[in-house]
Amino acid sequence: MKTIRMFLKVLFLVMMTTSASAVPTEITVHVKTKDAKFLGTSMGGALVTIKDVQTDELLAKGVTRGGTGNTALIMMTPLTRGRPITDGSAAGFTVSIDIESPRLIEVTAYGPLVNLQAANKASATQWVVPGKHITGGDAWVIEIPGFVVDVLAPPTHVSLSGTPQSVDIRANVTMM
Amino acid sequence: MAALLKKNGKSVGVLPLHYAGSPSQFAAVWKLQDAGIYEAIVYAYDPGNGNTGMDSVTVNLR
Repeated sequence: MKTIRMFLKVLFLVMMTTSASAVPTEITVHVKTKDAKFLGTSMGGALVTIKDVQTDELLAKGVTRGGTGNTALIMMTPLTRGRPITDGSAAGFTVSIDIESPRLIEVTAYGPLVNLQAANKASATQWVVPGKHITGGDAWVIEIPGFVVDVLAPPTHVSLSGTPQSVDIRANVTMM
Repeated sequence: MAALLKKNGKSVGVLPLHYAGSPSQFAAVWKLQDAGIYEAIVYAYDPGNGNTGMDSVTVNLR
């Protein structure tokens, strides 16, 4: 009985120490579309999930919100090392996770959520160290490829009678 | 920009879509001869960067 009580005391102390040493660590994720701008509110955003690679524990999830970013900065200014292409107008998802030791983190982005036939998924992994925020510069950028193609005509599963027939196909194509 | 055409599940050709006069819009005329279930898989492709996208539509011709 005494041993069990002692074990429980030690366990409690360990748990208290563990929980007390967890450090809030901020991560900002931007989802950029290939050869275009950032995926934000206008396209329904992108679903971002943040997981521990080694345990598969889901640490956070959310949707990118905000604008598509600064066109001049993203598309018209030559890239130089250390110069961010994001500013306050670039959509993103920011979250604080509590970690007590370095964790290998996987960030996955899936979108655009408003055009699911155009949605793609991309991910990347990185070590995240307690208290060392990933918010500086461009923070954590995930790139998603693709165009949004919408068939405008004919409508889905139209039925026609009599042969032959000529059907107008019309599609709208945009960058994400 | 083109449509991959199928009839009753089998490929029957490729139909290029051309600029339709409005920004971002492309069009073509799809000629269907006989009765069947037709499908058009419309895709976009930019060889300059590998970007792709697609949507599809079906037509039931009786």
